[in-house]
Amino acid sequence: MRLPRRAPWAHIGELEQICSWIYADEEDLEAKTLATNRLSAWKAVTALPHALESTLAILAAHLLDVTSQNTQHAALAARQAYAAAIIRMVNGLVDPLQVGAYARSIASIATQLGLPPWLVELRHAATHEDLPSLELLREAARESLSWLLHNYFHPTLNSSALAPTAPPLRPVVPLLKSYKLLMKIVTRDTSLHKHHQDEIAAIMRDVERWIAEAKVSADLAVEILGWRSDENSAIGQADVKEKWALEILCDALLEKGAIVPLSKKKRCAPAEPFLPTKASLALWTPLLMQLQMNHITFPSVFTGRIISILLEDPAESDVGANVIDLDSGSLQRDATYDEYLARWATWVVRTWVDESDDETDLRKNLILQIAPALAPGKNEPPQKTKTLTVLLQAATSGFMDLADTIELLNSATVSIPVQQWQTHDLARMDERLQTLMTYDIEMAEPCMGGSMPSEKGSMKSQASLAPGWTLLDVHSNWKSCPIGVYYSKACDV
Amino acid sequence: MVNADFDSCASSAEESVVSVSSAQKPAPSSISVTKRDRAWSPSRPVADSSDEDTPGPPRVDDPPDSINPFVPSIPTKIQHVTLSTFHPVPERNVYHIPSSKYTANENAIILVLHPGDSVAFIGAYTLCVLKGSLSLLGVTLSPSDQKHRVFAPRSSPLPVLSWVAAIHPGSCTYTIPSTIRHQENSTAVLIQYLDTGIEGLGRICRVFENAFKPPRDPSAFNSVDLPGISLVTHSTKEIHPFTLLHSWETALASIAGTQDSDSGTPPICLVKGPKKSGKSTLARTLVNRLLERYSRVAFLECDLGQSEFTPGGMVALSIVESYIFGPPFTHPSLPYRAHYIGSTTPRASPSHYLTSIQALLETYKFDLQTPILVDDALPGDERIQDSVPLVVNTMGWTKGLGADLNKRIEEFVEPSHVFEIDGPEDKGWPTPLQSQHLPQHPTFLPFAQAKARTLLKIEPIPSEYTNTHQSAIDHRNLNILSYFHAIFPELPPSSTSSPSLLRQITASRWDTSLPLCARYPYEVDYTKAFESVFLTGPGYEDVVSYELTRVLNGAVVGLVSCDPNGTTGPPPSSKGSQLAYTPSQPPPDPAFSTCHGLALIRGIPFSSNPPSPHMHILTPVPPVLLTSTRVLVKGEFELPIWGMLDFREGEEGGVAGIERGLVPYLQWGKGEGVGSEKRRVRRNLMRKGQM
Repeated sequence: MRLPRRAPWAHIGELEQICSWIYADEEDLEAKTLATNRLSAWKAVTALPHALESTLAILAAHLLDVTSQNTQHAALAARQAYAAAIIRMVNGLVDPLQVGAYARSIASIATQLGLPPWLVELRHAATHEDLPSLELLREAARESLSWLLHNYFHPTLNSSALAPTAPPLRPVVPLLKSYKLLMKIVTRDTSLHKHHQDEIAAIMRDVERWIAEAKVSADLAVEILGWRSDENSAIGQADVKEKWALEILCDALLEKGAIVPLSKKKRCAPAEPFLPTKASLALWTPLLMQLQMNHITFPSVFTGRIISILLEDPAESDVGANVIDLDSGSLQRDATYDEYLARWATWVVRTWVDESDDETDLRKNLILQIAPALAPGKNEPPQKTKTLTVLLQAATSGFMDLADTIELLNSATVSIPVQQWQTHDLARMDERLQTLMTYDIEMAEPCMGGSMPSEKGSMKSQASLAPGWTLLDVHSNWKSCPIGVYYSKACDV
Repeated sequence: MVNADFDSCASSAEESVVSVSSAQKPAPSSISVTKRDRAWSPSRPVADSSDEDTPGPPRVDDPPDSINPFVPSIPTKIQHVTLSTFHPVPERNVYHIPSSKYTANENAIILVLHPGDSVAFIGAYTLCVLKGSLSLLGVTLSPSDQKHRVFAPRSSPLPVLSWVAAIHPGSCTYTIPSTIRHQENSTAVLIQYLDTGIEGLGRICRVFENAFKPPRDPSAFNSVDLPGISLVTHSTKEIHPFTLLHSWETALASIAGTQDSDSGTPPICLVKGPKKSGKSTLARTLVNRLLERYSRVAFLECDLGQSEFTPGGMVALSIVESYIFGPPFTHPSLPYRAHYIGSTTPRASPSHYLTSIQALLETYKFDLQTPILVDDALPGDERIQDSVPLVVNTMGWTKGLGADLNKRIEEFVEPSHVFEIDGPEDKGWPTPLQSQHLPQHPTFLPFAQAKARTLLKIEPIPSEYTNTHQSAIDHRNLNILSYFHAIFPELPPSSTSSPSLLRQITASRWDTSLPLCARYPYEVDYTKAFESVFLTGPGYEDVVSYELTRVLNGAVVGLVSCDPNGTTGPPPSSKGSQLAYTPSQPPPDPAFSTCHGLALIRGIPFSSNPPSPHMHILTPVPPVLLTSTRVLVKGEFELPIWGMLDFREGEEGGVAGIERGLVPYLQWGKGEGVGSEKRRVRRNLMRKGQM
């Protein structure tokens, strides 16, 4: 579950206000004081985004400079304040991009960021050489503020304005193609295996390299990264990046012509076992096994992508305007393609479950993802329903409790002919609801003592309360609302 | 350096150093004990179970062949260690007791353990020893009417209940039903499911979801026909047993029996060591060990980030009366006295931190060490009542300023026993000079202490034992959330100031039926309830008065009560509809204040001229204590994000009926623009030269 992050503002309008206080009129010190006060308050609420912290430092230095010009030693204090603000701004912007094990030069990262090179120079001078002159520092502060306006405030306030440009990631499809070619040769004539061994290993390594590259480019494409709430974000973000990279890779794998044979004839496989053809397995198992070995999340990403393709509605994707130029075949659901993907999903669930503790998770996730589409009342195309049903059965066979649930889901999908409403129908529905609910609850919450009526635990009667304290209750008209919202009748208006 | 010498006439400093490591455990030559040999003797076989029990009652001579369940069971490899040698067979060693005389109406089972048996459960349960003896988490239990609460989630090392030879007849008024067959040397234990609602915390902090549920691997557990509890047969990737390292066992044994010959001052133990070395586990075990002999133990928490009894952010002095069988989030307690630092580290306010600890030590010496009131001895309880030992847990920040702070604390505490966990060299834990020089030159004492001091050096917990599924931050978050959902027992109305009467006040239940955003808050008229507000944190000096409500909205604050006699000058009081606040004011003097707990200001109107001077507050602190709370202190401590979410709305839902994009103060997904993240620090970056 991706957690949201704490923002200092209740809504983005508050940031907009600060932005206009700072930038509307460069000479308006009063407005700048307002902005500084607000930012200082925000800083006491939660950790500020680095850009805002830098803004605060530069503004504070500026205010110090302007208001203390005629006092003694004011210049040195102002220079120190400016210098510290700029050093910290550059460092803070550059540091997150030091993603490798070894340090990159700050200048090269700054170029990537579009940070004026002379600010980097100034940072170096202010840190290691003579403290730069007041004139230069004032100019640097002005330049920094304008850089922040264009690179932080504008993109944040108009979220679609200009997304940071991520360097293009090289496509992974050619890699997969050459892998497939090689493996075809090898599987047809095993004697050639030794001959091509090194090449295959090289391609596998290249796939891993591609994943590493994709992770880096995920880092630059800031917008795909959510914050994990806390300092452990480093770990969390690594996971997110890896997942992102694996998703792209899986999508390439799932394209027709990769793990699903291009020709429909080759997709024919016996109904039982519900698995891909032997030829497919021979081709792709080595690569998939390696991916699973190196990336613990691969199985779940892989099945996740398969299911989302299976659940995708062609009608829905039509909405996107740029679909038209795709080949017309993709608009129509391709039943054999879907079925083949389902076979791969079954293979994953059967192959990788026993090796990890997350065994049931993979299965359960699969069920949880599919179940809503099969829920009674959903009018999915029969072809799709069929594929999903078969997948569910194949994936859960052998697991009694899971199989029972599936059974129930399936029976519900069989459309019952319109009939007279009778009382025992209700009882039957009740029974079904019960079964489904008990199952649901078992997965969602602890089976015992998970909750209890709030009255039991609520605080004591008002009589014993301290002066000024009143415990609100049902009669107070208070309604639940997010933390940070003061709900009162007065606010309600 | 504080050398308070008034109560001790010992002019010659004594220091005994016991250095133990598992690699050298059988070699007595590696153990150097100077001057006074305390409890630990190299000639005594360490594998004897008598090492770990109470010295109070005269010891029944152990059969020489009695086996210590700990030493042999130390696993060398973590994978698939057998946790339960006990195989439940209904009506042979497991007896189901339906709604019985033992209990109101809950189901219960009686286990009969034979020599060599061990059994581990996941879940929350109570256990009551009816006959024989039992050891768990380094404690040996004898028969008594006491029902011990055990919380065994799989996020922490699992307590293993092991049979040990009876060391004390004990007294248990419950009789074992005649239908139960038991042998002379077997141990009978009554186990019941403990319904506290704690399992619901997993819904709130999803990192700990299913923490009380059986392992995923169905072969790893066994049903005992008691809902909510499952028997774990062997360890898995995520379930580890609690193991007491040999060197720990030896060190712990040294406090047993030491003070008998002494003048009655109870031991003062200090635990120190780097992060993740097992400090808090050791401190907890130490408290339990001391509880075998003393009816009360005082606990001084100096670790602001991972506190044992409080949600963190404060230094706290707590009283412990019952064994702690569970991780910190299962026993949030009201401190006897505490001081709010407002951060997870003392980095920003080292001197306030030290003053606060000093104040707590004063409190310990005056109020607790030899308590005045002794009136509540339970019949049959032979434990010492009139003196209270102290356990001090220090923080894991042991480098730089952190090392200095820890050194100062050690000087203040004047411990009788120092448990020092050796960290790996590269963690920057400086090797103290004493330990190197003393063995060779027992007469040369470069750091003379006024009092006798035993230094016990022990090895850290191997990293395989530590949980990797949840980080320290996850555990801290869970602690805070557990605190805000906790329900504390009712206090007598007289206990207005200190949650006193020298009682341990620990949460008995958890209300997790609703997320915080949906719980009825207190509506507080702050002109009546509070005298002033303090902000403490780096840069907080710059918060101007008219921005104060903005800072307080959604904030976690310390509820502090001040002694009116102690404050210098009249405290600023709230005027009109404003909260009294003066920027850059130092936090209340620890000598004259105490923090009762934390509160969440879940809503406060912003406008400088609010319609009414009210705010909405959530706090588990019992209402009796709120009367004396006159001051709010806001530090850097924040509510974990989990606490702002609404578990009722599912993974994709919003909060309290408001859809995601519109929930104030929360932002899902993308942060656009460069520099939209908070600063990240990397300390492991290598330079070109290191390539």
